[in-house]
Amino acid sequence: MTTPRRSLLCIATLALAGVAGCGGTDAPAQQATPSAWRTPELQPPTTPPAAARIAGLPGGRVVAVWATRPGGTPSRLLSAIREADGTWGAPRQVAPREPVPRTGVRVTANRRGQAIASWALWDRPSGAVFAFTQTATMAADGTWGPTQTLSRGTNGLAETGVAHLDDGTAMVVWSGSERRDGSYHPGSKAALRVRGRWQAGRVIGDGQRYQLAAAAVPSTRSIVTTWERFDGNTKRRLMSQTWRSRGGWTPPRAVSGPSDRPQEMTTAANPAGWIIAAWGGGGRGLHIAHRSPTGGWGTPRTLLSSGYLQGLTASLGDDGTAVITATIWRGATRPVRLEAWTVTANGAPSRTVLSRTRIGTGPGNRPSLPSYSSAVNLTAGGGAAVAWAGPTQPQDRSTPVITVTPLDGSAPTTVPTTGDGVVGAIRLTGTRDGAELLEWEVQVLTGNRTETYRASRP
Amino acid sequence: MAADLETRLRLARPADGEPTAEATARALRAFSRRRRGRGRSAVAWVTRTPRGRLLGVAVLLAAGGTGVAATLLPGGGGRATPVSRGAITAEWGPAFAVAPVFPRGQIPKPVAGMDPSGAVLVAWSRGRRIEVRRRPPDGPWGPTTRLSGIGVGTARPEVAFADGGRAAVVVWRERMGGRVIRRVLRLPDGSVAGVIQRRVGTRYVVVARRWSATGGWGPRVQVSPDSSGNRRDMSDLAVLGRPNGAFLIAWPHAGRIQTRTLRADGGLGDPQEVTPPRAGEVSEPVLADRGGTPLVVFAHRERPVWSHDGAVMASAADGPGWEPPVRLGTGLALNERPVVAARGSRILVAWTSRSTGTPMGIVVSEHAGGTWSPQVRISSPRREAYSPGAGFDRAGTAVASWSVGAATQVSTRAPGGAWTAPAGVSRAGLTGAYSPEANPVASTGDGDLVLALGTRGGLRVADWRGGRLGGPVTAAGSTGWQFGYSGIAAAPTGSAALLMTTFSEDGAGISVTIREPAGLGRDKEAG
Repeated sequence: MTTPRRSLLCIATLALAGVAGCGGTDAPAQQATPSAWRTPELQPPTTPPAAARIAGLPGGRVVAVWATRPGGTPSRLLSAIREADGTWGAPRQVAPREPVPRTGVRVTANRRGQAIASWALWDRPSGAVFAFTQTATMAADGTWGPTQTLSRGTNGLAETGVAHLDDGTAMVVWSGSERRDGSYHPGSKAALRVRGRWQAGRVIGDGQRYQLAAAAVPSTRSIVTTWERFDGNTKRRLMSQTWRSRGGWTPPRAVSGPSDRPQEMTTAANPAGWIIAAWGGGGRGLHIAHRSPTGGWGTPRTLLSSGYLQGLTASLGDDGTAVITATIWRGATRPVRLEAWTVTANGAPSRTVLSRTRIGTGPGNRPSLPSYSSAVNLTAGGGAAVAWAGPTQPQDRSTPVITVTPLDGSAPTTVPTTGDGVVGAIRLTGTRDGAELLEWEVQVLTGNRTETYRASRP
Repeated sequence: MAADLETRLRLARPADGEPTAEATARALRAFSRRRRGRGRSAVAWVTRTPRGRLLGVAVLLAAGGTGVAATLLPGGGGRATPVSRGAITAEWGPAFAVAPVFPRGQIPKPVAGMDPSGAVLVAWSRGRRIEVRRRPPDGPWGPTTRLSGIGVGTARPEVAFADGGRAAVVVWRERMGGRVIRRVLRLPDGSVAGVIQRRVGTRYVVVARRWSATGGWGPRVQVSPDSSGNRRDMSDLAVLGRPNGAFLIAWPHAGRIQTRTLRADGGLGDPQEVTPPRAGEVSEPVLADRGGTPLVVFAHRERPVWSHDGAVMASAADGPGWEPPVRLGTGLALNERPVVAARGSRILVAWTSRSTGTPMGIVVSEHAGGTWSPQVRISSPRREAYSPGAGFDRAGTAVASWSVGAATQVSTRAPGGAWTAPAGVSRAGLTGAYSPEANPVASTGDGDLVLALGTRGGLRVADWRGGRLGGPVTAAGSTGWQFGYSGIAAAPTGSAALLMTTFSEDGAGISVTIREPAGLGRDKEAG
C-alpha cells in the first residue's frame, strides 16, 4: 500500500467577528514577489460552494460534500470530486432528498480513497427541536452507499464528527440531549462501524459541545474523540478518549487545563493521526494541545494569556504543523485583530497579525464587532498561507478584496472580489503541481443569492 | 413521564417561532401572580420597575409589529349613515367570543373591519381554513361561515369594505399542490429512530371572496395571476375598498408588489406591479386612499436578515399602473409593518426604526402638497419605542401614538405646526403578540379617532375629538395578559369595535367588544 503524497490539507472556515489584542507583530514585510492571481471567474451553480467540507483522496484528488436547500425545496446532500488538475467533477447525490434541512456536514477519507460523511437531519423545516445523526460511505469509485441513521431524536444536535480507518472502521460522534432514564440528558455519543456493521451509539461524555471531533490514527488503528465535559458554567473542560481496535475504549482524559473554562474550542486532525486542539476565550486567552500519532497528547501551551476570541479555527498539515486563526479583542477601546499562529509539535509558535481595525458602531449606536472570513492552506512542504476578507461591519454592502498572506514572511497578495456583495466562506487549497486555488462565496445583496468565484495562480 | 417530556419537547417549537402553549401558560401564571397597584404614572412605573421595560422589549422582539390602518378604515366610496353624535358616549359592551377556543398550539390571528354603518366583519384562519363572522349594526352576531375549501392551507386573511358597507371582501393566501415526503428512519438494529413527514413542492396563490348585502358570499376567485413556490411571497396581503364596490388587492411576489382590482361583478382587472429600483425582498404592503388615488406603502430590504434594515417605499397609482416608488425613509425593523393614515390628499406613514443611531424609535414621513417630508423621529431618542399608530382628525391634525416599555405615548402635529412633545396616556405598552400590525389608531371616517391603549392585563380606549384626547375607559378588563390587542375599528356612527386575542389555560380565542349608539342591540348579546 502506498501513501500518496498530498500537496495540501485545507480546512476552509468562516470566521466571524473579532477584536483587538495586544503585542504581536504585524504581517512581515515583503520578501519575495509572488505570482499574480488570475482573473476571478464565476463558477456554475453545480460547483461545490466554498463552505463545502472537503477531504483529501489519494492522487491529489479532493472530495467535497455539501447540503443544499434552494428556495424551500427538499434538501439535497451532494458530493463532487476534484481531480488533481483542479477541475471539479459533476455532483453526485450522497443521500436521498429530504423535506428538512441537513446541518453539521463532515467528511473524511482514508488512504484507500474511501470517504465517509456524517450530518444532522432536522425533524422540521425550520427551528429543529430534534435531529438525527446520519452517515453514508463513499467507495473508492466515488459511489455512495445507503444512508444509515445513528441516533434517535436528539435535542440540540447541530454538529457531527467522523473518522475513518483504512480497514473501514469508522466512528461518528455527536452531542445533544437524548432520552435516558426517563428524561433528557446532554451528552456526547459515539457510534462505531466495525467489520462493516454499525453499532449503537455509546455515551462517551456528559457534556454537550458543537466542536466535538473524531480523528483516525492509522499507525495504532485507533480513533480519538474529543468533547467538552460540562459540569456547570465554571467547570468546562476539553476531554479526549481513544478507541482501539484491540482493547476498546480507554478512560477519558482532560486535555484543557482545570481553570481554562473555554468559551471557544476547535479541533483538527490529519490522515496521519495528528490532532490539534485549541480553546480559549472568555478573557482567558488562547491555548492549544498537540496529539501526535504515537506519543499521545502533549502538554497544553498558551498562545495568548488573555483576551476574547471569536471565529477560532484550526488547520493541520501532513507533518503535524498547525495553523490557528482567531479574531482577538480585549475591550471596546482596543483594536480588533485577525491573527494567525503557526505551531509545530515542539517548536515555538509563530504569530502573524493579519489585520487590525477598530470596533465599529452598529444599529442603535451599539459597539459592533467586525467580521472576517478566512481559510488556511498548508502544503506538504511546510508552507502555510491564510486567505482572509474583511473587516466587514454589519451594515457593509461589499467586501472589496481577499488578501492571501503567506505565513513565511512573503508578501501578501490580493484578489479583487466581484459583484455587489459580502464575501462569505473562503477556501484556499493547492493542487499536486503546486498551483493555488482560491474559491469564495459572495452573498449578493441585489437578489439575495450566493455566487461562487474562483481564482488561481501557478 | 418520559413520554410527556418528549411530547413537550417535540411541541416546543411550532412553526414560525410562535410562542408555545406552554410558554403562554407560563406567562399567564406569572402574570396572575404579579401584584397590581405598583405604578403612579406611565413614566414612574417604568422608572421604578426596569423589568417592565425589559418585558416590553422582549415582547417587541418576539412579536414585533405595527399596523395597518387602511384595512381597518371604512372603505372608500361609501356614504355614512347619519347618526346622532351623542351616541359616542355609549359604553363598551361585554367581550363576545366570536370563535370557540382554538386547539392547543393554534394561535388565532384575527382581523376585523367596520363599515360606515357600524357593521363588523371578523375573519381568521383556523385549522387551515378561513372563517368569518359578521355582526350587523344592530346585532346580533351571525353564524360562522367557512370561506375556504378543505385542506388548502390558509394564512392570515385581510378584510375590507366598499360601497358604504354594502360590499366586503376577504382575501387570503392559499396553498396549492405539493406532495408529502414521508421517511422512516431506522437505527442500526432496525428499530425506528423517527419519522419525518413534510409537504414539499407547494405553490401559493392569493384568493378572495366577495360579500354583498344582497347576494351574500360570492365564489372563490384566484386573484394572483401566478403562483409562487416561495413561502414568503403572498404572506402579507393588503386590500382597499374602491368606488363602485371594487377592491384593490396587493401582495408581494418575487421582489415586487403586485396589485389587482377585484371588480364589483367579480371580474379581475389586469395585474400591475410596483418594482423597487434595487433588487431585494419586498413585504408588508399597506394600501391607502390618497384623495381618491390608491397609494401602496411597503417595506423593501436587500437582504431579509436582522442586520439589514428595511426601507419604507411608497408608490401612487398612475392610471392603471403605478408610479416609480419613492423612498420615504430607512430603518424599518425586520418583520415590522408601517402604519398609514390618510385624510384627503394627506398621508402619514409611521414605522418603527432602529437605525437612527439611538434606541429603536418611531419615525414618520408625511405627504402633503405633493411631496413627502423627510423622515422625522418623534419618540424620545433615549427610550425604545414600538407599536406606532397614526391618524388624522377633521382639523387635519396628525395624531401618532406608540408604546415605550410600559407606557403608551401620544404626539400630535397641527397643520403647519411641529410635533408636540410625547405625552404619556396609559400605564402600559400596547403590544399585540399575534396581530402586531393592527394600527391602534382607528379613524371613524368623519374626522374623529379612537385610540387603543394598553393596560396591564386589559385594553383601554380613548376618543380623540375636537383636537383633544378624552379620558381612557376600560374596554376589556382582561385579555388573559396584556398582549392580546389585535385591532380596533370605528365608524362615523360612533360605533367602534375592539378585537382581541384572548388567552387561557385551555387555549387561545377571539373576542370582540363593541361600543355602539344606545339602543342598537347591544343587549342582544348578553349571555
